[in-house]
Amino acid sequence: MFDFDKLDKLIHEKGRLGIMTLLAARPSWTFQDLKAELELSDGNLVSHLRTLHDSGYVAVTKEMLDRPQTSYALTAKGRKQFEDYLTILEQILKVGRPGGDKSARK
Amino acid sequence: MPARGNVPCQGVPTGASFVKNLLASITLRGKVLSMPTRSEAEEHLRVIRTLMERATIYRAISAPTALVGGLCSLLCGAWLHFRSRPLPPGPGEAEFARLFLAGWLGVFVVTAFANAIFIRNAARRRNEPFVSPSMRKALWALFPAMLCGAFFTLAFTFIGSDPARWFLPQLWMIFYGLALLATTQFSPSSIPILGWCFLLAGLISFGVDYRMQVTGHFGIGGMHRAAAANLLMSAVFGPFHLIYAACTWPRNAAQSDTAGTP
Repeated sequence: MFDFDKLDKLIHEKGRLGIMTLLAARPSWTFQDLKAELELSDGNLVSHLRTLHDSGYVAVTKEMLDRPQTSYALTAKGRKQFEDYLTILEQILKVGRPGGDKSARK
Repeated sequence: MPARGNVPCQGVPTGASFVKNLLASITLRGKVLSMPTRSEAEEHLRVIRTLMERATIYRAISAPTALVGGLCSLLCGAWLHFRSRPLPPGPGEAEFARLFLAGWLGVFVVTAFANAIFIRNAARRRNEPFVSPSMRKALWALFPAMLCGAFFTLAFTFIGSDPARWFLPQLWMIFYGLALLATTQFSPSSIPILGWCFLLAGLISFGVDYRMQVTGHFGIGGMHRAAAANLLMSAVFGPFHLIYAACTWPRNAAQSDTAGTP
């Protein structure tokens, strides 16, 4: 039996799920790249990133290249939470599938 | 017979237990409603997969590979040029054609081998398999253009006429450029730029070569088509790769890790 309460509600929101997915795929993303890929407004993206940063899922790096640039990366905690989230999603699929994980259905 | 209505029904909770049961029921319903359904989970996994695929960068040619390829091209071009100079006509040209093919295929093999080693080392550093899903995707993208290149190489070498054979450098440039452009969806921006450079160089040199043939420029003043083809190869494959290597050379450890594979 698995506990649905373990599903991280912070990641489950679609905007934040997109951010976590992209950060899991590449070591580092700039704000502009994230914005372009997810097609979110500045305010929306800032808000989601702040939530994830406050929860310790995302690390922020501010650099001064030819202009100020903010980069984001997953922390170890964030990566672990994302992997756990994926595991639970997969378990949900198994529960609904005939012949799936029977122990999860009990 | 007991009078109906005066006896409380058994099993119907009253007072505090009723409220307790009601709250438990509401909590349970809340949990069930907030529980993601199978279709919701599928949708989330689909979003994750799509974003992951889009975000995965694969650099089919790393900077060290480009350095190896560029240097080999310059060395091979110089060796062929000085070894066969002055180029004898007739049988000498056929001999040069064999050397030309062997030399440039050698450059391709050495560069591909070096690329495989760099990718393997990068994969080991990250504890990832050598043949990653991204690598498979890149190879499938590169395959059609490379297959065409191989096909025309074989066709022009074994059944083509001599004049057709010396169009091979342009064809190699065009198909190499197209192969790189085929990886645009999951490449860093430098790869399609390199692809465009090769494609344009191939098309332009094809036009120039054809024009020079038509106007009979070859054979005048020691200018020989075979030698020109060799110089064209080293002048394009050498500097283009060296410039690419200089522009994309990893400046820190994180970048060097992404150089070979995603």
